[in-house]
Formats: sequence, C-alpha cells, structure tokens
Amino acid sequence: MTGFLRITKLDFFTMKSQFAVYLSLILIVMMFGFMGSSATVLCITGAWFVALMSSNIFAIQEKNNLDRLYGSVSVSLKDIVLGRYVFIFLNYLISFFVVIALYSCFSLFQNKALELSDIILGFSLSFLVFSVITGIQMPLFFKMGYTKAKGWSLVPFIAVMALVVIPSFVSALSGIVEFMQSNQNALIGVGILASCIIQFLSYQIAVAFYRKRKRG
Amino acid sequence: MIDNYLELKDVNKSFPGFKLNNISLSLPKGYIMGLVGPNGAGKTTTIQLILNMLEKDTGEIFVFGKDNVKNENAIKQDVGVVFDSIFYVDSWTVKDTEKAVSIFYEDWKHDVFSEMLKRFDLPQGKKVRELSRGMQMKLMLACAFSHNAKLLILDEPTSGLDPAIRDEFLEILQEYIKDGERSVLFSTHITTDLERVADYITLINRGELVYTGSMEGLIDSYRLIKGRARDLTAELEKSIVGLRKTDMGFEGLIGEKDAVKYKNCVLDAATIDDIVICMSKGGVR
Repeated sequence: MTGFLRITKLDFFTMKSQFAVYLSLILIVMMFGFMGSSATVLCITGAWFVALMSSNIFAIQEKNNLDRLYGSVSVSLKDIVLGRYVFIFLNYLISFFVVIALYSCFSLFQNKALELSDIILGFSLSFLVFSVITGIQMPLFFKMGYTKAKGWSLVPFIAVMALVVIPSFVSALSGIVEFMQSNQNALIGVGILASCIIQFLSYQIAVAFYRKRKRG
Repeated sequence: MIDNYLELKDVNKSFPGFKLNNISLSLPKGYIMGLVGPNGAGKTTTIQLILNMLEKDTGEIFVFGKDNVKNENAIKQDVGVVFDSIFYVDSWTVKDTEKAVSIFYEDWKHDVFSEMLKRFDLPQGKKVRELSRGMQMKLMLACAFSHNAKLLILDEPTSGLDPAIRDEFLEILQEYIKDGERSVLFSTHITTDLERVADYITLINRGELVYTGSMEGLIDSYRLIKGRARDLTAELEKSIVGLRKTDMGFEGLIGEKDAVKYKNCVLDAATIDDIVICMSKGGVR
C-alpha cells in the first residue's frame, strides 16, 4: 500500500468514533427531500455538510498529538497531505452517493422521473462548492493547526454564500448566471474542471505550508 | 556491516530564541545512549531532527548508516519511537491501536504484539484514554517492539512514572538490547535511570553539546569541589561550573584536569545528576 493510502486508511480509523455525526446528514437530506428540493440542492447540502465536518480530523489530530505518530512512521510529508485530501474527497464522494440514493427513493415514492442530467449537474456544482470551501480550509489547517485556523476556516463558507447572493444584487453578474442556466453542459464542465484545478492548487499550497511548518 | 546505528555530525537548527549548535554523537549497535540535559536544552529538538519531524539547517544525520532524509521511509521501518505522552487517538481501544499502527509496517508481528499485551497486562478492549500513564507508555513500547525495531528512540519516557514502573521499564530496555543487534537512544532528565542502563551519554545544555562518549568518561571528567570562602580565588572561580556560594563556603563542578590544582578543597566524585544540575546553573565551560 502506498504511503498516502496508509494515511487515508489511518484517517478513517481516526474518525471512527465520529461516524455517528455523519448519520445526521441522512436526516438533513431526508428533511430537504420531503420539502421537494432538487437533486442539485440536496447534493450541495451534502457537500456543505462534508466541508463543515472536514475540520474534525484536524481537531482530533491536534488533540491527540497525531503529528508525532505521522513523524514516527514510514510516510513522507507529501503522503500525509495527499492522504488527507483523498480522505476528505472520499467523504464527499460517499455523501454524494448517499444523497443520490436518498433522492432516488424520494423520486420513486413521489412518482417523479429521475433525471441523469440533474444528478450530473448536482455532482458538478456540489463538487465546486466542496472544492472552494475545503480548498481554502485545508492549507490553513496544515499551516496553523486546528486551533489557530479554526476562525479562518469559516471564511470560505462566507465566501461561498456571498458568491451565491451577490449575483441577485449585481445586475451585470445576473447575465452570467442566466448564461450558465441556459448552457447546463458548459456549467457542468466548468464546475468539474474548476474543482479539479482548485483541489490541485490547494494541495500544492498545503504541501508548501506544511513543509514550512516543519522547518519550525 | 554498520557499526553505528545512529550518527549526527555537526547538526545545527535555529529557532527564534534558541539554537541547537553543532551537535555530534555516535550510537554504536548494541548499546544504550542517554541523551541528558535540563528542560529546554534541546533533547526533543535533537530527536525530532533524527526522525526528520523537523528539518535541520546544516549537518548530517545517519541512521543505520543511511541519510535520514533521503532514506526516511526505509529507516522508519526499523525505528521504534516512544514519546513522553501518548500519540494515539484517545477513543481507540488497544486493539484498534494495533490495527491503525500496523498499516505502516511491512514486518508487523501480531503474535509479538499479543505477547506484549499479555506481558504488560494490557487489556485489548480498553480505550487509550482509560489507560494510566504507565500503561500508555507500555502500549507505545508494545507497538515499537511489534515491528522488530532495531533502534528505539525514547523521548522522556519515564517522566511521570512511579518508581516501580520505571524499574520495570529499565529492565525491558536491558532485555531489548541483550542480543547485541539493537540500540536505544533514551532522552531523560531523570539521570538515575541512566546510571542503571546507559553505556553512552550525550549531554546537551542550552543547545550546546557538552559531552558525548562513554558514561564512565563523563563521570571521570568532572569532580564536585567544596571549600571555604577564603579558598575561592578568582582563578578557581573561573574554572567552576554552577558555582554556589554560601556564608560557609562554596561548591560547584570542576573539570578533572583543573581539580588536581586545588588540593586544599574537598573533591568528590560527581554523579550525572550533579553534572546536569551544575551545567544548567552555570552554562557550558
């Protein structure tokens, strides 16, 4: 097993006691589902939830001196960072599939047609929301540790909310929104591409920050 | 064949307000080395540099004859680490800890781990947070032994342990190096532990290397000097480390070579404790 996968596996062990918290996602999605929310809204809710929960692993790491564990075992600094990114992404992916499974059940009971394009759009936009939030959060946690970065980690949530709200007030931007709505395929492509770029850049920055922290 | 399991050559590391300066040491295969010094001397920094948890500024570190940065992953397969406080998740059980830690080792031996748990009386189902300080230390040791580590690096493992557990711990270390194929680097400020088990000593004070070599060599190179106030000349005062003056006289530590000049004073053999105390009071001379 390669180094980063060992860290991902360790992260799952580390979060074992927290899995019950993740069950609340099912309740939230069920509530939104009963309210008739679309697949896209449910997927974004799931992504938002996972991004919110992603700081927990850093909190547990700090509380239990896990940097010492990472320092004593056969893994490189890059493995530690990449392993954590993979862990957080897998959390998102699992939550996406859970949301889609629940959405499919609601569609079945409500005799609604299950549109594949809705699901793909949901994936693209939720992945973008997830990537923007965790893409900013993760380097901060690697740079400062949980306690110091806790306050700053809320900034991306505010930024995403602002990005959603601002086009309603700025007429120049509403044109872009309308264009996106009428070109869903472009929106899906841009969403996935932008998410991948954000994740890649975020990982590189996190490695640089973590290396700097190691220099003391 | 590798003679030294651990070798540091002129290692430097600077932080704002602290500098670890030209640290050199060699730990041969089959021996225990004590890394001593007062709190804040640089012991933990030295250990973190060896493990590449911190990047050194300059110098060279070799573990099993290999560069510790270039061969970090291969080296760590054969290194066991015990810190002063546990570094496993507190909600893990002892069994979970094995599952989590064993991921990282190619040569993990479940049988050895189970045997260690029996020997240390560690219940598999107990959570890390429910274990006493001594039990937590034993769990870290059980993990270190279960991947057949050739080099054990221990950072203040005995601090906060009661004398009975400390005694048991020292016995385990002596047993561990019995086959002559393993070594231990043991950082502590409880120097009485070292007098029992260490073959070599490295003494660091305020980031400076004071001594590295055999334990006997360190004890032989210093004397405790005591005398009346009138015997304390300016020349003698310069030679004494950690000088303490009282109304009755003075006492401190003096180099063995200087000691012969002052036969009018009382000269006693110094213990490691005396040396560390005087060094921390008086700096490096």
